[in-house]
Amino acid sequence: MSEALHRRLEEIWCTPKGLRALTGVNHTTVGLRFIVTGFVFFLVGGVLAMLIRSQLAFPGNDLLGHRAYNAAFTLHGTAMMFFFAVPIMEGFAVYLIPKLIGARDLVFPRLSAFGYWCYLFGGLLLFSSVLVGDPPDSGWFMYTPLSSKPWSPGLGSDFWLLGVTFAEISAVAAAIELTVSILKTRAPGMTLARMPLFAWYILVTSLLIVFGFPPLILASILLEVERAFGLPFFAPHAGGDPLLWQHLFWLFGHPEVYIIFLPAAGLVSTLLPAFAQRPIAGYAWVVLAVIATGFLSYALWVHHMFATGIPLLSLSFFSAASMAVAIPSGIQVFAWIATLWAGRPLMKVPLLFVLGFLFIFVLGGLTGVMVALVPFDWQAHDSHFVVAHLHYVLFGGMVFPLFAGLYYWMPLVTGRQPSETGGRVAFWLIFIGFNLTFLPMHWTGLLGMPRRVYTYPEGLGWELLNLVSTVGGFLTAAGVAAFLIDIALQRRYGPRSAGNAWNAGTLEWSMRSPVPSYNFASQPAVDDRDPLWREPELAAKAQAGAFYLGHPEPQRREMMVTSALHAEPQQVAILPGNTWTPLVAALLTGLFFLGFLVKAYWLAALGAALAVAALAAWAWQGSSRGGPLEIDAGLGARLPFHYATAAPPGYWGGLVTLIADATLYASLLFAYFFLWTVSPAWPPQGYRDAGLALPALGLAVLVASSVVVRLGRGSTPATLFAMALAAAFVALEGAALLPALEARSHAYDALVFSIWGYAVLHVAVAILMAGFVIARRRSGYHERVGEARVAELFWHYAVAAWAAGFLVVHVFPFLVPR
Amino acid sequence: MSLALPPAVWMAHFLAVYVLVSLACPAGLEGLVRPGVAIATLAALAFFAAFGFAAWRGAGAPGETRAFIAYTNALVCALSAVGTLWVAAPAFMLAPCAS
Repeated sequence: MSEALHRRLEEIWCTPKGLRALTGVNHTTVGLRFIVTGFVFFLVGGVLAMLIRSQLAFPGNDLLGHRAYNAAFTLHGTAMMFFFAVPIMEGFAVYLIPKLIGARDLVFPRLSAFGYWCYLFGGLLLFSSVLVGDPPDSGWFMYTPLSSKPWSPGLGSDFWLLGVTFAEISAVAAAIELTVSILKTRAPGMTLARMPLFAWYILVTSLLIVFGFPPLILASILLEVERAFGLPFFAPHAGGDPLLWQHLFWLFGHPEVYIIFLPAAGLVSTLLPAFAQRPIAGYAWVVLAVIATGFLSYALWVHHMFATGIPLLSLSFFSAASMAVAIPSGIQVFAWIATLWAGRPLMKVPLLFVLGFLFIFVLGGLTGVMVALVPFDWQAHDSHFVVAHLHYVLFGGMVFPLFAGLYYWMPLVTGRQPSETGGRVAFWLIFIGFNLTFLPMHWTGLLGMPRRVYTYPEGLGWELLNLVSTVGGFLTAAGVAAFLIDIALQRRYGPRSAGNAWNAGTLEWSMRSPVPSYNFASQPAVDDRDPLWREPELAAKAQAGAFYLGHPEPQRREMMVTSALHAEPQQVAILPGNTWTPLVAALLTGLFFLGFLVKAYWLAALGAALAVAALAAWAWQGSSRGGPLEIDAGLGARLPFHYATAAPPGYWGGLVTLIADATLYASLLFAYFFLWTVSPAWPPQGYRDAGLALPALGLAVLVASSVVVRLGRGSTPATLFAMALAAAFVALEGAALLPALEARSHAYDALVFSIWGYAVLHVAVAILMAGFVIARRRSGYHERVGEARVAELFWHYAVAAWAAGFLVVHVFPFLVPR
Repeated sequence: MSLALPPAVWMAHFLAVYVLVSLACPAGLEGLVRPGVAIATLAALAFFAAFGFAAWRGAGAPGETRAFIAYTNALVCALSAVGTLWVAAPAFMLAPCAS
């Protein structure tokens, strides 16, 4: 391709230097930021781990007191799970997915930037607790009542709840945009059957996040509201239940394990073929395994609660599902072994880490089947055996593939080849160190040493095992240091790599080296799972602009949008360029969280209002009024711009967002029914006081607003009328419900109040969105049909949500006998 | 997405038997548990058999993408059936409301 075209594309797509780098939205920039920040948190979590191991090295050691030890293991777990494992894998997905599927960027670039800032600020918020001397210390799972106000009166739990929730915005944001990107922006011809396996893994992971994170977000909100305002969701004396927290936490917490593991396994499935120099064995079987794992992971949450007194048969269902999940894991392991077996393995550093992963992960899987057995779990529960098991699964299952991936894809970033020697030193230090740390821990646990105790007396037979674990821990740390040195050396002195550094078959290796900001000078057409093996000249053709959107005078960030199943060209999306909006919106969201933390609720309210204003400004940004409605995309395809179509990517994004929102709502309704079933204090006195007449009228008015929106077809008078009806609903329902509630006195009232609050909030947002659409049209943005559809969809969703809420809050109490 | 349907049925079966035990046992309706689990399991298995067989026949159809989805669907059905049987089995080995 001509250097002029390259420079032009680079001008349009690149992230600026200096302070303006903060405006960058390009997925390459944002993905790397996620990966680097995640690695920094890995180092922070690692330092905390070394503190833990140092404290446990000798019996009766007094390096850390029990408070400091509690804070250390809490922050270690929190940092590793929420601020390292999930975000760094998100970073890999953000960085790699567009390159693997032949796209120029993710489909909502500002959303990924916003997610990154939320993640960074959430992490800073959490760890600032150390600076003010009040870190969280109730464990990474924040069990109530330990984390509740009476037992954790300080700010520690608040730091955790607010920091983690802030960071979770980024996970949900990434999940939404990765789902839509994978379904809608694959290179033309890349049908579902030809999609790189990493995209399958990330698609399933994203859906796991969409369904898995909302229960935790809800639980965190409920606990924070309980701590701040005294609404008793988890307090047994007022009709709450600590087990509600455990159910909601693990409803998230077990899928979380797969949210971490699946992307890592995806890295393995994607890079392994390059080292076997043959396609993956059993592609369809691996896809099956990934889908099955995604579903099975939702039926495992109670295996974290085997010791809580749940009936035996219920436990057995979860025990059976926990063992069944070994089947899809086994399918993947056999597919990897078969791929290596049938190929000619090249023993390079990334493959070494993959083999280490296989060895360690299989061991972790086997102890996993052991603790899936209820009687064995009762013996091993809360002992160091479980610590050993979970590190074999997570360190083996995620950290080893991470290092393999870092070595494998580093040439894309640095344009240089990694050294074999440095990588091998790092691998053996980490591999030996890891096993030395955690293999003895199985015995320590079986000998009875419990988790989360800050010290232990002599003479129990735990001394030598603990010392060996500590030595192993420091050896692992030395391995990580060796890795960092190796990468620094590679960046500076490594030999320049050819474009396709490993002779791989996937599209990310068809770009210039190091990769340019726009990825593909023209977006390739694909007709195979390993396009570069099938058509070696594809790279040169793509770089010469011979495929889609390779026209010589690009003006804006253009990208192909294709159909979900067959990847046929449908639209050309105009992506937004660099902008301050995501950073500003995240900072204002931070103001909300900060206000909550320091209990300055006026500040929180101000932050929330300003953040909403920033989001409105964000939605307003973007392409110009008027202008052309279609474009010649090359190869004979004349396509509409995304904003001129009825189903632009934003519509899909809206759908996925509503699924996450509905999951949060379903969790809230679950809390209601759960407490009704288990709490002896339910229902409280006067629970039928609200009556049915006024609420039924309110519902009728609200449903009428939906009908008006539907029949009004977006006309301004109809929308204004619908808004008036919705406002009338809020007044009617409030008048019926609020006098009958004492939200601080009983969990029933608190939950009914929350369900009402959810409905009011959604109706308010629906009104804002409808107002936005009117304002937009009055400013001359006539062609934006998709936007109006999203607003209408949200309106109907809000109404449907309250219809369900009405049945639960108002009708259900009259159906069950007193 | 038809690929999500068989595991969704597996999950519906799982939730059905879990909720059944959670509600029937406190209500003193122990006798309902086994027949309930049996009916839910047979219904789920009937679905997997029908859907899986249809998918298996579709795996030979023309069109790479459709054949791939049909083949994967048949595999997902088989795995979901195994998972369903596995989950249902304890109901016939343990006293339904033991704690």
